[in-house]
Amino acid sequence: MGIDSVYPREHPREERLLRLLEGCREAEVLTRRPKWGDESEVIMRRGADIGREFFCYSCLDRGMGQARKLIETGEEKGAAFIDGGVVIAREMEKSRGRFDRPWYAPSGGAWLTLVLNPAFLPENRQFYSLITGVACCETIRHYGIEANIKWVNDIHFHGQKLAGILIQGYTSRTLGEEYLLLGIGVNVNNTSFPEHLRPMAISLREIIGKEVPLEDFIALLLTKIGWNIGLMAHFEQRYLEAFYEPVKPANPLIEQWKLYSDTPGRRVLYGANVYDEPLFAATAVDIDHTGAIILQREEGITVREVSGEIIYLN
Amino acid sequence: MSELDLDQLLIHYREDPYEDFVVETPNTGWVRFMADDGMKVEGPRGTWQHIPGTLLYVLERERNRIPIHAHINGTISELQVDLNGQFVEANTHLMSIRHPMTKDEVINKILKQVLITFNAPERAKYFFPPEITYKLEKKKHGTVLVRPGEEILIMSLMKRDTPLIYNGEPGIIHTVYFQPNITLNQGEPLLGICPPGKLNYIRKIVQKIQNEWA
Repeated sequence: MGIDSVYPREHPREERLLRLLEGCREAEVLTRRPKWGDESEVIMRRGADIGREFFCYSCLDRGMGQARKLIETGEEKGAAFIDGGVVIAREMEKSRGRFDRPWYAPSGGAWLTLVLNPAFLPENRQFYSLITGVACCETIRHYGIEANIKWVNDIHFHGQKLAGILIQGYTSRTLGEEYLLLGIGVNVNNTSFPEHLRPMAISLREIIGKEVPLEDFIALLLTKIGWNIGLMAHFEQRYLEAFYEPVKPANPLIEQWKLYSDTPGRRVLYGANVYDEPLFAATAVDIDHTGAIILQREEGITVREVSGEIIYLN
Repeated sequence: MSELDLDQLLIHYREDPYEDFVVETPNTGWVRFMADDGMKVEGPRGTWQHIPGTLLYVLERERNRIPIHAHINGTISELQVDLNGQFVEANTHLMSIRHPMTKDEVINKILKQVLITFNAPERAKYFFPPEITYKLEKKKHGTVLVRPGEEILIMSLMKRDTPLIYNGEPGIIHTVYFQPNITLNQGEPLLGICPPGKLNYIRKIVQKIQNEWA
């Protein structure tokens, strides 16, 4: 059964996005070549599944919900969902973040859900969170904005949120396939926020003072996600090859995350659900090779947290 | 599920109120013991279990020194002194910790033979999805029913949230073994689910141990 008969195309935007993505990938390889040489093509190819198919909608309740629906619909017809498929909505009405927090997603923003078959080794799957954060930050910086990453992957500009990321695992009910859903929301051209969010949120358009072509932005973002997934896969292979060597290769993703993050050195409030149940104040020292945050508490105790979230106190 | 011989179990635990935890190496490396046979050790302490337990041994591999701390309180036994300073394989038995059980631990140990336990699939933090949290807050403890196919927990690792689906027989959430802010290791119990029609029997077990355990 052909893909089109399982997931019929509904929107001309999809073809345009596929073309844009192709151009972005070629440009990305050229940009990365000075550092990575010929390996840049190999790395980009490894992440080339990202954006294999687009599902565009004018309005959705939730992108994650639609992605699950598409997965189940396809599997009922006997087809596993396309690895790297992307659900895009012009606007979303009932969007939610972690802990069911409402996420405001009006027209003008980039609201997408990327569906992946998790391909990394189980111990490396937490890196999808860092990959998405680094890719978002790189994309925003492409427009000349000095955005930063707050651990794990919140993207902000001088404390105002530019992008939010929600990553959920999902096991399909029909075939029992394991998927990873990457929900990404970036305030691109949307300029109106509810009163209570106004001090905390900002968009690219507000910062640079002009509209950003949304489809170009999405194509670049997916290219950067593809690059960083490829980079992680490349590192995983090199790490396994050097498994019995005394010196292991450093994870370039961690290096890149540290380059963009303003978390190390900050006073933070930490909690599993920090807004509703903050647990303790500490100084963020660093992140380790697994991406876990190292926190120095006032009692002189150092703790390593693999999960949770932080708020900056200074 | 056959009913337990509670009297026999209680006699057994009164005679030997200890649980032995085997301490094994997580990976290969050079072992240097920091504890002696018969030494009393403490488990992690503090509100978030953030103060590590007593240092048991140091495992060194490729100049990477990993201090291994006691995960529970008790007394060191079966220390393999001949392995001190040796290079050992992963999963080598180094010592045991003989842990004195509290009344609640005895109750939990006996209940685990009756309840369906739902264990942590990965090292991560766990919390209930909003619907289950709401039900647990609204309804009395021990009356929240779960059915196969229902989302029962959310596993959170580095902001990657994975819903866990319950696939056992329908039952009531009887015991919650985890705290939302504590990271759990793979395989640790998260929930004890009471099979249908067994709630009164389980309450009887708890009552009997509460009354008879000194």
